[in-house]
Amino acid sequence: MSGLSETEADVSRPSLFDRFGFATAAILAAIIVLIVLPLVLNDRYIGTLIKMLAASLFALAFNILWRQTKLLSFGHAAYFGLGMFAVVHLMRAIEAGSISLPLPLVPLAGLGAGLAFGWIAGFFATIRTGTYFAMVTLAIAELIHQLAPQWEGVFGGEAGLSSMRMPWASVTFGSDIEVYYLVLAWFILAVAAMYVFTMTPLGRLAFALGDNELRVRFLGYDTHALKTRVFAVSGMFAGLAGGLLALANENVDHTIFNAFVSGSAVIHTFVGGAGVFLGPIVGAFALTLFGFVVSDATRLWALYQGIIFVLVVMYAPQGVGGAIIDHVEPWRQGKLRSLVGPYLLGLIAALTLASGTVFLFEYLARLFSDPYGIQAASTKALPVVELFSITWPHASPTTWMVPVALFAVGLLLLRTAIGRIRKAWESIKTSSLGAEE
Amino acid sequence: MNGPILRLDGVRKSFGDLEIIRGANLDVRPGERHALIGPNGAGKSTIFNLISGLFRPSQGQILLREQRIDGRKPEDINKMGLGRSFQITSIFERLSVFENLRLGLMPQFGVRGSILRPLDSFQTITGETEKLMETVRLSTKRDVPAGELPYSEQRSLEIGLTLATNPDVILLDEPTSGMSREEAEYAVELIRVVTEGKTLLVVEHDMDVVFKLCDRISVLVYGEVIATDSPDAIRNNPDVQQAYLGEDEA
Amino acid sequence: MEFVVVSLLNGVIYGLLLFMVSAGLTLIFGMMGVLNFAHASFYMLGAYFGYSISRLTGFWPAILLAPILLAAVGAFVERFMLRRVHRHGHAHELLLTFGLFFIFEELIKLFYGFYPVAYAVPEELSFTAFNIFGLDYPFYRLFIGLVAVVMFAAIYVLLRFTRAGLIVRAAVYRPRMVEGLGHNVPLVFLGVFAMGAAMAGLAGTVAGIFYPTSPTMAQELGIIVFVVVVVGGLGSVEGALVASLLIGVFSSFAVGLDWTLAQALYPIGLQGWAEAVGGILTVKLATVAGAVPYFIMLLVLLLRPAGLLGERV
Repeated sequence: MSGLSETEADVSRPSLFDRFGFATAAILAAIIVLIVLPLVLNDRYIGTLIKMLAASLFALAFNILWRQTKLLSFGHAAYFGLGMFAVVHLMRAIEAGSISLPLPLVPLAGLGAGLAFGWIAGFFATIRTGTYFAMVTLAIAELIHQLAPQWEGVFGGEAGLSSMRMPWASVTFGSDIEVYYLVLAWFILAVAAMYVFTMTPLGRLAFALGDNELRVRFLGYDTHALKTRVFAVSGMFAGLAGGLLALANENVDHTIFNAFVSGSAVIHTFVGGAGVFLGPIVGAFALTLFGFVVSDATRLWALYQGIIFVLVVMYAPQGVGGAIIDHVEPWRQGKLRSLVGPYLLGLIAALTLASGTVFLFEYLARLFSDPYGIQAASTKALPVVELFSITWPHASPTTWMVPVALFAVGLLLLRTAIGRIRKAWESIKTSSLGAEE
Repeated sequence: MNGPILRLDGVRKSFGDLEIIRGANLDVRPGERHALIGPNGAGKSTIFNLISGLFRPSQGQILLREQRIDGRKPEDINKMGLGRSFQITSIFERLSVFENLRLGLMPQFGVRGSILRPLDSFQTITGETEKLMETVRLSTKRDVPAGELPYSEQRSLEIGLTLATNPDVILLDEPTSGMSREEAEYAVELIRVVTEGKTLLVVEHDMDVVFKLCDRISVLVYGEVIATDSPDAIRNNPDVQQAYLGEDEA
Repeated sequence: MEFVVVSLLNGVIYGLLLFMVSAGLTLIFGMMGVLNFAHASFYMLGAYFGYSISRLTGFWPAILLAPILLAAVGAFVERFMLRRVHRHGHAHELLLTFGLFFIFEELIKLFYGFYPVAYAVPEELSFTAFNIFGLDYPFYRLFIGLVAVVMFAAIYVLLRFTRAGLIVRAAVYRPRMVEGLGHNVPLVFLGVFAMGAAMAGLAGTVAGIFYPTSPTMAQELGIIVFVVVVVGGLGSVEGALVASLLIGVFSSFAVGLDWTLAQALYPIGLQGWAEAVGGILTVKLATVAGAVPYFIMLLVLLLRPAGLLGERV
């Protein structure tokens, strides 16, 4: 079921016209939604939207290195964080009056910082390849992470640095909406720039480097210099992403350099689909939204996110974006209908299994929580557990039957669904082969 | 030029304790088509890797136009006018045929790793690439991702990529390996045409190809060149027969 | 003087602890090409399993059962998860172990809460070993070192003197050849992975008593272990031992030393100038001790990726 997604979908056919009819429409629709959304949403969601945009840019920057040159950077938080600090310093200077610069241009500091440090780091990191490269990027990020708290002048120590947005051209930028539109404008420009990058000589060479670096050398290129440049570009956009977030949050501290921030770019990219240009955006949006929605409901949201990530890596390595691309052909051929039934069944199976999992974990969480433990100790018995506004007696079979039943039914449905999905895809493939004859 | 355009002088190469090349002497005259043959494991690909800069000789010298190239980086050697192909097809699978060749071509027009404009906007480069595609007869497969081509067309692309940098000394490593009789004949014609006026050093197992194509043959056995001569002389050389027949008997 | 001796002792023991965890990691990398991000999680699970089991049955059964449980966890991860992802390439294997690292941490938080648990030294082992320069040196600390030495000896004997050990060593070096000879290489991989997990688990069970047992212990140890395996040479168990001891001793000393770069410039007469300049030149070694291992790791990766005793890259 892998199809086109990982290979040449938007690599060897760079002309936007034919293949991207569908995609262009989708992108335009998405942009319109992004423009209209804050007007209909409650103010408190706008902060999350901004976070999503920054996370998306960050993941896209990471993916320049992975999708094109097949280099995994596990320490990208360094450039994101340095971009944040650069912008906060600039904002402070503007606030203090020592520099005069319109607020909309402030993210350039993030861009510059990311570019400069990306270049330096990339020069060293690209001396190595594969796992060693990944470890160099990790080491660089951790080095900064460890040193930052010590260098108070630059990184503001434990408390970090804060500043305020200064008004410009009769816009105060005091409200979230105004900041949102500024961030959105930069976002659209940056994504477009990253796409154009893939079409430049360096961008095309980056794909070649990912396919066969040795061959590129034998064609007379200095591949270390090329890879350094690509890394610098990636760092630049990561720095810009950080800068935009700093603009919105108005503060930053050294914890931004930690491994989880670096990890988030990786997770967002692969869940969204690392083989597809827009995949990281899908992943960043989906997972940030997931975190936002689910974290209100349960404190286990990070666990669920981790499980989703592992499931995607194991069973859907092409990610959400890749899966979407895989369906473009069937859609074109009008064969999508045959998949609807099996997919519906699969969805029901997935929801059943998810419910069973959630029930089990939520139950266990309450069982092992402190208040419960205290209660149990004082009454010297195992009391009931409250879940979903229902009380579940502890040792009662009905309680344990629920997850067991859910798992059993879910697994059965899943087996059936997988079988049917597989059959549907086979018939799509054979009929399209028949059509080609 | 008068002397050999490419020369190996007492070249030795060891990997750890194992000496693969044990004193190889080779000279290739400008404009000739020179074959390097020998039994399996003789070290032919190693010789190519040494010449093209992937490995550094443990001893001895390699000279291109009497300039030392041993110990230099592959990209520098390529810039000096030497191109090589690979026995195991070494192309850019995700990119189309057109893009593969274009990347090989563009440095000649001063385009390397710039980011100022899309590559498609360079009309001259596009034109030259199309000519090269025509030469290796892959124009009909312009937009096909290289990874999706049938094997023999990948080999043609492999040769095309080698030629793209416009080398005047061309190293081809088993260009017809894995091909059927017809495909090999086609490939030989192609090679003859594209190496017109250039110097060719080719590693081959297929003796028909060698005798059809080459002016001189060098025989490599256990890391040493035991003979260099015209095809007929090599055919009748007792040492060469011994090396091949001896191998058959074993 | 007392500082030197005590730091040395502590450092060696900490180093041996690092070795218990890094030995498995480096062996797994050498053999399967996978850098297991979740390896430090095995250490953490060992500590927590040790804690829970010892609450039920006392310490000694725990020290036996926890590693066995970890071996089972490791076997499960290798057989049903890593093997599945293997065909998609090294990157996906890295990602999987990365995801597992997250999941393990969250699972621990679910069952045990966010704060450290009171995993304490068992009665029978909580006495003073000796008195050194007026300081009572706890026996348990030596016990940790003892367990590590016994484990190393056992592994060494196993690898060097048994047939299974020979097959493992060959499989680390040339897996395809070993497969060609008819051995069940996937089973070897499974075994080594499980063993590595068990060793890390044992380390956790024993160390969790002395050091804080909390959900972040995997994070804290994890990166240092990476440094150790890189410096020692990916794939080399002997290298891991040497590097563990070096880093263990260094960490132990550095935390107590107030050296600065400015002081290092004293021999060429620039100390005064350096101290006037301030900033990074007057930062004490103690405060940046945490960053030095990463710096060393970076140097090793860039200048000599084979590390101290690893195979030429």
